Amino acid sequence: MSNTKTRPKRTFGIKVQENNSKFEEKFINTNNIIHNEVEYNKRNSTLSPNDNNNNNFISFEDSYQNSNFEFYECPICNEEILGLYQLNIHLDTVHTENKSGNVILSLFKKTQKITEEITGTTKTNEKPTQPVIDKSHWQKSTNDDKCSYPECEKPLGIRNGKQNCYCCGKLFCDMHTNFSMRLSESAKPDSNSPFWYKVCQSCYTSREGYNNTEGQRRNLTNAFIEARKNNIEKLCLEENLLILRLEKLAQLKAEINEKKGISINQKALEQSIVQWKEDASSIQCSICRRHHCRLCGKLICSNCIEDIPLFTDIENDKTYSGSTKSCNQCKRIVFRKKVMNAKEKIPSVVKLYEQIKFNQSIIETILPQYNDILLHINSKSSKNYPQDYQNATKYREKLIKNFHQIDLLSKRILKLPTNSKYYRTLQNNIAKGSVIYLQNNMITLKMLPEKNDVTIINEDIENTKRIKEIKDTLDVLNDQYTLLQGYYQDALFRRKFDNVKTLEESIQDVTDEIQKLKTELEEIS
Amino acid sequence: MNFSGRNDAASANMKPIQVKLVLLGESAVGKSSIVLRFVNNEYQDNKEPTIGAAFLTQRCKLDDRIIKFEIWDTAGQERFHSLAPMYYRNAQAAVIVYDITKPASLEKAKTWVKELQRQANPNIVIALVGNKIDLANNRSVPYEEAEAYANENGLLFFEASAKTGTNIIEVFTELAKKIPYEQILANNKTLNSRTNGQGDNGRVNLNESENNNQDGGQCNC
Repeated sequence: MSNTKTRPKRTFGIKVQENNSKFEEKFINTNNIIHNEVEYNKRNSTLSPNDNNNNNFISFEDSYQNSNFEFYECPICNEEILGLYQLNIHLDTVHTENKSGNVILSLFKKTQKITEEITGTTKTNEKPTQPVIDKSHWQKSTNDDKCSYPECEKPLGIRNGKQNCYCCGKLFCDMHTNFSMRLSESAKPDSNSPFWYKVCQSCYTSREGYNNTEGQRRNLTNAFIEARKNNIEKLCLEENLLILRLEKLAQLKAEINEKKGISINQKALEQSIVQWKEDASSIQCSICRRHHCRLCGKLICSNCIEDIPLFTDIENDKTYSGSTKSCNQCKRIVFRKKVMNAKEKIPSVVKLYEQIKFNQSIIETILPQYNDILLHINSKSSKNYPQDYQNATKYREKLIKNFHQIDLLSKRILKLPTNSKYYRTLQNNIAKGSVIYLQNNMITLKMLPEKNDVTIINEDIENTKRIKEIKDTLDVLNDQYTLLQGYYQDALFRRKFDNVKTLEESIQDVTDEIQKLKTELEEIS
Repeated sequence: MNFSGRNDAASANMKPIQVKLVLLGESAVGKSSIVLRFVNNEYQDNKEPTIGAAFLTQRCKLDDRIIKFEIWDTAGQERFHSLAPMYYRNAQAAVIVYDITKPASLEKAKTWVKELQRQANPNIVIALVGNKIDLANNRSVPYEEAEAYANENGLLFFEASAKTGTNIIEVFTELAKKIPYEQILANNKTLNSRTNGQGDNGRVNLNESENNNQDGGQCNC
């Protein structure tokens, strides 16, 4: 019976798909369709969940022979109705289109789905059918339409196209409807709708969020906090547990320390705090030794086990009572807060020492460069002597400055007030260390070349200067030469022969001078 | 000093004594203007700067001698500084000019004096001239200061104006008086006899007569 009940639903689907409209028309024809459908299902043996049984299927076919009196279930109200004709009447009278348009629409979808399920792959190539959008607001097409886009006004037709905007319904040319937007069934912009429709440019650009360059935002902080909370809670619990254990262990250690000499089974006491895992519970590494982490009790290889300090009060460093073994994971968890707090308040001695280290790192980068340049200068293989000399001076100044800085810092460390003996030792050692550093590096810092070397360099600089000078002078002299030639020609022309003689001499002077400078220039370069 | 000796028969036969004179000083103090006033008795406003060293001549008659000034008007701009030695090296006279409205120009003049004392002919006659006394309202170098400096260093000292012509002739006259002519003549003679030989004399004479005709009557002061 279940078969017979579902079958009419299927026929609906097919019927609907074929005509996509009213289903009362020519219902008798559906018999054929039902038949074909059944045949199809038989061939493919892909059956709906209700059609698992082939025998049922056949029996249905048998019963179908006398199908005039079968019961059908109304797909809307699930009422059982005898015969297809009756069902048809029922649908017409009870579920009229006006009242239950949406219901029928959903029914269409339902049947569609089922048919798709049955027919399987044959339908998958088809695009998801776009719901029929309300077109009541569409502008009616006439023979003399113009594009509604402001200032376009192209006549619409074959040439420019003619297209209603799905959103505003007006008619536009192709160019101005070349936009797509998600619309709801009531033709309103709806970013959640899965369907895209052609819309006009004005609708496209005026939609909400068109100028929003940041994109859509969602605040996920709360979700994140919620998700994080679970982990954090777990972590905090674990951390607190481990801290408790650590403090207990420290207490234990302190007690043991007090009762020196008395033999105590320390391991047993330790195991009273945390249950140790059975030795056999873990596969033994043949190379490294195994230990029990005193905090979690797990078996840990010797590579991952570390000695940790014990404090009866973990936040108070003075309550140190000894050390024990723990795995590095537990160590990290148990000292997490302690490390974080320690980072916040670095003691001034550490800060100063870090600065010393920084200065040393600078020195260590510059010093080799300085020595290189010095080597060049001393071997006189430097191509750019003055430049190198300048650089060397610069480096040397920087080095001296850094050495001086280290000296100052170490003195400052030494002056830091303290009552602790160890702290004093630390200060003294740092100071000693920097003195040794300075002795090793600053005292051996090579001097720049001696004065006579410097004069060579100066000569070099002077040479370049001189060359420039000579060139300038030559320019002036050449100008003067042409000038004198002018005077000479003029004097000849005016027959002032005594002047001619003087000018000749002067020209000779100038040419001599030019010659002299030219030879000097050649000598220099 | 008499500049009209040209037509004098006695002087026409006389060989003029060539005096090489060099003008030195900072740029834009008026060296070229002084020369122009002396040679052509002209004055130009906004004269363009001299390039290199300009060459001008002027004949004068002093007592019984005819003196021909060969004036090298050097450029004051620093880049032409290297030319100056060529011209003051053999000069018998130098005019060092400063601008009385610019104290810095006097300082520059002093450096020129030092340079000449060190490097020029030891017999060179130097005149220090403070130009532009037409702008005495803007004077910033006192007469006394410059005069004291000149006396200290054995320089002739004048304040003059190329624009108005004040004291220009006097500068050259006094210079001409101071020049040790005997030495020059002696030098020239030895030079001539040594290098040029006899032929030169005839030619020089000829030249001179021609020159005299051409140069005619320029100097009427």
